[in-house]
Amino acid sequence: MAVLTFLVVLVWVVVSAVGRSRQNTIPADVAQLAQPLDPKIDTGLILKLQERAK
Amino acid sequence: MEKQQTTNLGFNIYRVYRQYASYLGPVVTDPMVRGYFGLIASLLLVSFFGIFALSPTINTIIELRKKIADNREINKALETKIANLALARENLAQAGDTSLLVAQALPVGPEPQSAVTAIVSSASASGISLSSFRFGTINFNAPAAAVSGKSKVSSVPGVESVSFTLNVSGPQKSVRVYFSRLEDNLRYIRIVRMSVAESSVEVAGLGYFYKNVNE
Repeated sequence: MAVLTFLVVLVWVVVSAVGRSRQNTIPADVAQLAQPLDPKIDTGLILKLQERAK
Repeated sequence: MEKQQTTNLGFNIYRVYRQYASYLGPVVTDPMVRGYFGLIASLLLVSFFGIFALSPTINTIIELRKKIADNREINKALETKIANLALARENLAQAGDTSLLVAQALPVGPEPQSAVTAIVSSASASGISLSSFRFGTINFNAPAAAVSGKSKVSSVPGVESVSFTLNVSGPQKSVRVYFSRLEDNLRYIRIVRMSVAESSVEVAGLGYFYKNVNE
């Protein structure tokens, strides 16, 4: 009985710790702000727009 | 001495105590039972502390370590983004002032006037007659969510579209030229549906615009 209790508690502690370690702590708005940004400017598109503007 | 203590507590308790004492007797006397009792008591104690002390402490430690790791990751991502933004600014400066061009192609807000200008001027330049023209519902002052309800949301974030339908008639070649001109117009317009009748062509299209997501 005591061994079973001990084992159950041990498993519970491990499962709870693993669950906590997998939890996402980054807020959604911060994650959105941290999205990578491509610094390249599509010059082909700008040229195309300039062509259309003529 | 044992008897004296229990009698001070009362007769019933004394009987109960004696009953339990008979169970606990071997625990004190038998060395094997005493050893197991110690082990069992230790396991139960560790389980108790596991539930009420160890688990919350371990969870807090893990949570804090995770937060530190995540914050470092975010910090790194934001530093990269700042560097990329500086690079993008340089690239944009090198590309020249294109803001007006981009604003005309994809205006902030529905800007139906520019779409009308594009549609009408293309029609007159192609030599066809525009018999009817109608926009879908346009809500100029509604917040983003309300606008999304009226307009069609594209797959690109922040880019939405307003629908329109028009009827044109004229020679087939001119009508083709008109559609080509319409799609090559600076204002970003796309034809999504077309139905050809005997004397006219009914067209449904979308005029794209940028809805500022920060509003």
